[in-house]
Amino acid sequence: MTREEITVKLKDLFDLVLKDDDSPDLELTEDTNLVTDMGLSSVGVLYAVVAVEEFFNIRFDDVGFSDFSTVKDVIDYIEKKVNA
Amino acid sequence: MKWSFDQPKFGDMIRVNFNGLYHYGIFIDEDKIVQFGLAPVARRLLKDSEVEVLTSNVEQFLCGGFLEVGIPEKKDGKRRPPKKIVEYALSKLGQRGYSILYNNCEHFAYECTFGQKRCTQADDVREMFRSMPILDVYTAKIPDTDFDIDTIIPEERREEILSCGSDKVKREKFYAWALLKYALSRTFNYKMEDLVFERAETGKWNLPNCFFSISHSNDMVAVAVSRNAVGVDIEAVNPKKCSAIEKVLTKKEKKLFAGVCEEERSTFLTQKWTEKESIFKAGKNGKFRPAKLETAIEGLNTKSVVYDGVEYVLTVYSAKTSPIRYREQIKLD
Repeated sequence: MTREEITVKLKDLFDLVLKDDDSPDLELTEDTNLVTDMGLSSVGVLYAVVAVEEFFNIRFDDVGFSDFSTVKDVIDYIEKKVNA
Repeated sequence: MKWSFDQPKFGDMIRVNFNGLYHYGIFIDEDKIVQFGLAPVARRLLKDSEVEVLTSNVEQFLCGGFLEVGIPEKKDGKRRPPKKIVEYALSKLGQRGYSILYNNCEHFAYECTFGQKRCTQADDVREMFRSMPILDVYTAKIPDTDFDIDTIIPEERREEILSCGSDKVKREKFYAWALLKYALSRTFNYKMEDLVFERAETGKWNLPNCFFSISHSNDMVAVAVSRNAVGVDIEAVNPKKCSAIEKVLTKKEKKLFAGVCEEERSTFLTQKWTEKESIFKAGKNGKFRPAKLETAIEGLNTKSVVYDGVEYVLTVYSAKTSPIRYREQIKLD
């Protein structure tokens, strides 16, 4: 899976599980910070991690999600796992 | 486990809610709660690798929230005696290895109490994600470029497309399938080569994993994918075809049509046609009898779209209500 494909799918996924119906789509770039830009709460982190695991069929079992600062970190991890 | 707002006792599993997520601990007394890290609101700056099993007083544990006490039920398993629970919890002080899904404060509290890790919250979120209603509609313009029919999976579908006499139809069917491939990958992360397509007696292609529907008109293709039965239809508004559609309107629709102004009649009729097609496609069996299909039903979503100066009507139908995500003008190679 290419990095571009992962980026598109991750943005779709975050839109699906993190945003309210009425709010505009999330503006995600690789530099987007998960906490300061996206405002991910602990509940948000749980939803995001479960969604990424289920969708990409991977497990965050060797890393803490708080080790990720930006969307780029998450994409790097997914890219490594799905293409392993 | 049931939960109450009673006074906790020595060895009880306790929890507190913060914005929908619970923080868990083992109660020893008012000054000593054993827990895997403080509540997320109190440890925001910590990395997961820095979170450890520690004790705090009840105020620090609650961070202003309301304390709930766990009352074990039979299905939870055998609860350890309170003394053993506390001994076990204290023996883990300083332990690290926190993971929000696999080793969190709830896993810890369950392990202390029942000898087995468990996280009902992660299980619930996982179940919720798996059952989330999904309905995505994709549209794309059919490119002029050459296409490689050998890329079509499964083979039976490839043969079916090859057997079409018209090159134009071949091209439309090829790119409709190509858009389906894109949609299944983007919405569900499915790869065509991993899927087992089945063809019903009616000729309709199905998947055991999800539902899909395909349509094409002029230079446009449309695909809908969903966790529920779905039908999609796209039609270019063509006044020449409208007299035929008029004949298949139901009585109710004819009444409505009578009130439509002249310049909107073609669009109205095209809309009715796409609605009937979509309803039919979402069903399982039978013949398409448009004159008998009533369109005043819930679950129809219709929109007019203009691509390259041509007006189209795009309709999607699903009996189960789902928020629709439109992904228009996908570029097909």
